[in-house]
Amino acid sequence: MVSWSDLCNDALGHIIGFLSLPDLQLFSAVCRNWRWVAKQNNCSPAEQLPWLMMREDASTKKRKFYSLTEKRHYYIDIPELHNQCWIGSSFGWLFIVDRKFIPRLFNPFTRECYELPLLPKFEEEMLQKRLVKVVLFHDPSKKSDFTVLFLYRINLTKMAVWLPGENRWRCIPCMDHVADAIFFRGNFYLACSSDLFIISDVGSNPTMKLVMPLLLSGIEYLVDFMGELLLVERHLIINLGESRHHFHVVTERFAVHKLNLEEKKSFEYKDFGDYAIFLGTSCPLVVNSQLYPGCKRNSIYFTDLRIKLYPELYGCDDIGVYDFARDAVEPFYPPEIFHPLAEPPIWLTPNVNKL
Amino acid sequence: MARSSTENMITLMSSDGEEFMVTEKVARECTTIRNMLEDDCVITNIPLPNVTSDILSMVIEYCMEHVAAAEKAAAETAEKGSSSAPAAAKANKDLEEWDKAFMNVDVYTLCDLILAANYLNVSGLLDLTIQTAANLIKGKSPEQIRKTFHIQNDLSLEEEEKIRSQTPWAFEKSE
Repeated sequence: MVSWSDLCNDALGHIIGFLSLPDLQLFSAVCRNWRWVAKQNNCSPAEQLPWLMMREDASTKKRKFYSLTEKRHYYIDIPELHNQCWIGSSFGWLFIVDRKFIPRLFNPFTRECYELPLLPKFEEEMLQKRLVKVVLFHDPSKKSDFTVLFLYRINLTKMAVWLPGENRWRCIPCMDHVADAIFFRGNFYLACSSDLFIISDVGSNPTMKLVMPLLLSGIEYLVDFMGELLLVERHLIINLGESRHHFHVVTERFAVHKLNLEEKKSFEYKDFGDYAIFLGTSCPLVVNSQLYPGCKRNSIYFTDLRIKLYPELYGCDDIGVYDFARDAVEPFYPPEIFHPLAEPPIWLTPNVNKL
Repeated sequence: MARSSTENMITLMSSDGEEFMVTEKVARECTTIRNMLEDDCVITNIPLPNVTSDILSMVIEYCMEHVAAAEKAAAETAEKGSSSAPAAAKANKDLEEWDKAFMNVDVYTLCDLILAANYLNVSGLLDLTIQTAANLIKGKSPEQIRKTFHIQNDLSLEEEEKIRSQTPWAFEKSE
């Protein structure tokens, strides 16, 4: 009789495909054969809902994560993230910048890292607030020749592109405020002022070209929803604070427009069916809620805005899930207790293709 | 369900010499057998030296149930022109319930079923058994996993310590 410890590698590899990353770590500590199978290149854990990456604990220096699927925290020591500023994630990779303005793409679960050329100089004390967004051409874990689009803020939001192999950033002239950027159908698109632009000639002479007008009314996100480009508006509500000198800004609802690039028209979109969208400063994620028990369908999971008014009063408390059917925001995680250095939590999907 | 008398019957022989007569349609649920039939269409007797009779009878039971469910769905579609969504959803749910009850087996049988499903290449049964095994692993410590699957720990204390020190967070219990 065959025992579980020496079950064929095919079957063990197949089992791994149903496990989360933490369960795979435990699986690999069961016996030698299971460990050997878990260490193989072609064994990667099941795709998961993104995790919330939160602040570092002041005393232990461990970073706090929340797994939405398992509804539990993990405290992980990641020395590479000490004293770093970071924007959100893309494909599970964080864009981090140290105090010398050296940017890196860093995968916190595999500890892989790409060092990128020095950034244009900003005042250091404002660094965290100057980083806006990073968009990647493709997953660096799969192919190392990725292009990076970086949005940063000096008065207005500006843009720079880094091409694989180059030792500098190419700045893209841009007059207006950039609301969001996305890599969609092989091109970078920007929601900028009141228009949608495409960046042409990224490899030679990057320039912005008008695609269609948009109606922008505040905070917007561009989302690739199963091959359709969506413009998601985040509507905030301003409550007067207790002292009457402060405002407490929270998300009230979302509105979604499907952009038809060919006809240059947009349509309101109200039903995502079984899908859920994850928004924040990370690149948006679209998931099929049916594959993840507990994930709300037809909804938007959101985290705090990058820049908070009065964080000392309210901390990072604007996180929740917006249910389109009920037109209501519900909590999915308790508000974070205030911490002076707290960065807003961001979405991060563990991207590990090898233990 | 009435079967046409012209339907081919195939004999599957288990490792311990027991013979099982099944319709070709049921046998074709096993991709390994389907490939044999396509290579040689007159084959009627297939020895399966890797599968014992008690496991083979379970594999056949699974295949018969799933073939019957597919035939029923197809018949309903043919009758009404299109399948009604609520009826299809109910049929799916019934089959899911049947699968769930079918997976009420001990871990030794589960292991044998995985190997048989893998060898015979019954994709539905392989997914079902693998998912069941994964569910038995989820949320358990290595020690609890060993206990569940009756696995001998062949890692030395040093090796275990090293594994833990690489990702200590994964070994910490939820608060």
